[in-house]
Amino acid sequence: MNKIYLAVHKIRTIEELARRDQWVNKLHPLVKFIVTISFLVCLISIHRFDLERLMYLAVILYVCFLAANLSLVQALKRIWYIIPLLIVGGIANPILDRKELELIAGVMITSGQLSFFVLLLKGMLSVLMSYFLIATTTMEELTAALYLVKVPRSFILIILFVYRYLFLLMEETSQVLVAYQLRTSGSKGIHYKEWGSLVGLLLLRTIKRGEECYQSMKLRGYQGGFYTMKSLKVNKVDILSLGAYALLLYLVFQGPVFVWIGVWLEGVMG
Amino acid sequence: MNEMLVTIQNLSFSYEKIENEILHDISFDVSRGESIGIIGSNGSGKSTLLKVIAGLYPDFQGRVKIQDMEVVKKNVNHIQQQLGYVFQDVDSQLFLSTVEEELCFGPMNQGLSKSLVKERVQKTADILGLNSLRDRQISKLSGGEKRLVSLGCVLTMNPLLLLMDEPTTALDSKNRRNFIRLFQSLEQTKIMVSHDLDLILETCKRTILLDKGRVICDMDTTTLLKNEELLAKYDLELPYALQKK
Repeated sequence: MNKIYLAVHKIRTIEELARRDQWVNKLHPLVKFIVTISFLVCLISIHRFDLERLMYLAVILYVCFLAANLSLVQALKRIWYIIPLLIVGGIANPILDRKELELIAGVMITSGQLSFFVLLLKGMLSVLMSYFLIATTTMEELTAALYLVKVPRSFILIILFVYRYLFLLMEETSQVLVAYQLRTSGSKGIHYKEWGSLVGLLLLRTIKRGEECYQSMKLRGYQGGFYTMKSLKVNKVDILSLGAYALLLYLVFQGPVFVWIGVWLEGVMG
Repeated sequence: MNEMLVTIQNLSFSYEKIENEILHDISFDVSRGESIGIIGSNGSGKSTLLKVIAGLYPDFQGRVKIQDMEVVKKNVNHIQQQLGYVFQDVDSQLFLSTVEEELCFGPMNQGLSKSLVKERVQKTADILGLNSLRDRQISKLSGGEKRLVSLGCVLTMNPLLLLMDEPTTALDSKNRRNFIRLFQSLEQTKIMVSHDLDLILETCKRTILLDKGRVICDMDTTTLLKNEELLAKYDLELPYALQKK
């Protein structure tokens, strides 16, 4: 089984998650879209040394995962590839910014180290929240949500086409690689002399597949329209869910909710 | 006299003007409700003929009319909503994620209400036995299941004319038998391309033999398929059912 086939399988698995019969999955796609966007906006607005608020957002994200019955461990396994990118993005911080901040357990923490850690966390949280969105919302629902917020139809169609053709490209690549490996005694990788012809072949095959798919769409009445069978009516559960999320976000950012929890816990524990 | 649904007059076609003609001076009519088989050896132009009828290659010479509407660029969208095309390669026909989405795509594009779309999809799923597959991902279906879905997503459009290119490829014997029953029960006009001459014998009353883009003969299926000499001349063999007798 080659890596591309596995990648297609992984994406399909996320699609299957989005089709589960969970209450979060059944929420209106616009609600989940707003939740994600507002979370990302809050995340971006957090100061580079404000680790405390970042932890609050991490708690909110964890609550979202719990509500959607999603495994955080599985999600982390799927997104670990981005960690090297985040490290590359922030690696200069601890080197260039050596201003001493605080001594913790005998180790002096510099502002560069803290901002690097915050950057890492921000990156992880933003990817995890995006994962939450796609693992609870199908592409069809997501595009329906974009349609409702008046994103131009042509833009939505481009997203849908790219999404559909991505699979075609990956499947064709996978087939070409399997055919190559079977005729080269299972050699690892592709000999550099074959790269050019294989890329050319892949291009021709995907053009043919793409053309046939377009013909299939045309023959089933497609004229550039965007339709969905999903109900786009917002119901009470959607409004209540969005309200609860907004309240949680407000309390975390504006109210001393964790101080209250601390006081309450102190009272309970005597 | 039966009402003509498809009229083809002096049809010639080549993919590029510099290339040899793939179809040459083809003429025939198809009455409403008729089932026609198109046979011929590899490269005889069968699939291209179906695609020209479907309006996928509107730059041809001659005339093609479907229900009194000329197959020309400005009419293609309208004509394509009236016909159903089953592709030879199911993977090219099915491009959405799930069976349900595939079944809904055609009728939604026809502008039907959601309730009517649901009704049509349910009816088609009942006929083809697709109810247990409706939530499944296309990528996880077997070849035979994909073939049934490809038929289903055409039938949900309730087309006037069904064009089928090797529709029993990848079907096991049981599903092939089911397909033949289904085919015979459909009231629509049907044009089917197949190498499976037994299938043609069982499903089509009239058959057209193509060779190098030309119509060699157009006659009653049984008479044509019994003519061993003619079939052999065009690299075809007697159907198995007739060989036994």
